[in-house]
Amino acid sequence: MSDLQRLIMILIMMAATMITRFSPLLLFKREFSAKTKKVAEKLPYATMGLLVVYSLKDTFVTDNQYGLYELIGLGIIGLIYKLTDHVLASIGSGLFIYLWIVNLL
Amino acid sequence: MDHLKRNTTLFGLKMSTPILIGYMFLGFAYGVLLQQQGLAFIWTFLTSTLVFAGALQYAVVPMMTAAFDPITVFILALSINIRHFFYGISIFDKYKEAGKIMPVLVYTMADEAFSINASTHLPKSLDPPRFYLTVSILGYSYWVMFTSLGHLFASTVTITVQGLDFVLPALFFALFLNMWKQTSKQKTMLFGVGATILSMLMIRNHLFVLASMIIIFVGLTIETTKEQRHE
Repeated sequence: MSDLQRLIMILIMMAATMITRFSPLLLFKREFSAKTKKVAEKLPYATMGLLVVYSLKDTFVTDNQYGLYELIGLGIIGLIYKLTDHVLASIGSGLFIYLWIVNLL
Repeated sequence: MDHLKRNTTLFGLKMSTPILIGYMFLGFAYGVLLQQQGLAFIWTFLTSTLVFAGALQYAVVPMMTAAFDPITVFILALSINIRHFFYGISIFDKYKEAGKIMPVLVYTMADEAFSINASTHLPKSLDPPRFYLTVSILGYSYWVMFTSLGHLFASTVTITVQGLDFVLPALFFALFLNMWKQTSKQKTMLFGVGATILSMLMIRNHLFVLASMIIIFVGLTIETTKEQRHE
């Protein structure tokens, strides 16, 4: 492919990505029924669940341990979060234990 | 006044550290990948600045040196990034406070910035739009910076620590727990998890995200209809 074609390809990716990011704004230009509003209020909570699973999607497919290490890492995060109520502390401990298992065991 | 601005920026900086670590690894690796494909630096820089969508950028690497196929690229980009549509609807109420800078927040919305901005419970003493902007701009800058560095230093630096990319699932999971504690909608959160696992088991390609979004939307609509009937 030529440089011009490659540039066009990138601009197409940019356009498609902008459609997915900006289309909700156009949607919110109009008024919604009470029911639609209630559905929209619940959406962030379900979306957060979607994101957690989405971020782990490759783990279950490519990992030899079928996600056992990741499960341990997430378990540590849950435990530390429960004990400290601190988001960054739980991420740090979970990541540390995970890296330790993956690299040193 | 300045005190408020400074504290908000610092809090945003602190909350984005997992993004810094995650992008350091994933961004650098992306730059290396493009360099190894024989592509010039400008292509790494342009994809990161203009597209700014990690999963998509990785997915199209093989296509960047293959035959020109604009339609496939367009459909792939839409289907991989369709989750942004849900993010946008979910965070609209928060972002609309930001007024004029809202387009910047939307343009730089990635999984990471969305999850932090949607779930962080800000202390009353801080300025929300400034926090959202800090997290979003930092995420964007980290990505552009590390993908560029990866390309430039592809042959001189090697990353020997395995598994640093786990920081991103770790971030999402911790934010999930944080949201869990602050809401009464735990059932809805579990429904999102269940719907996505189900779709992933049924559909073995990137379209599973679209499927799970449909299940979530239909499920929540049915539930809301039932609730309204009871009222």
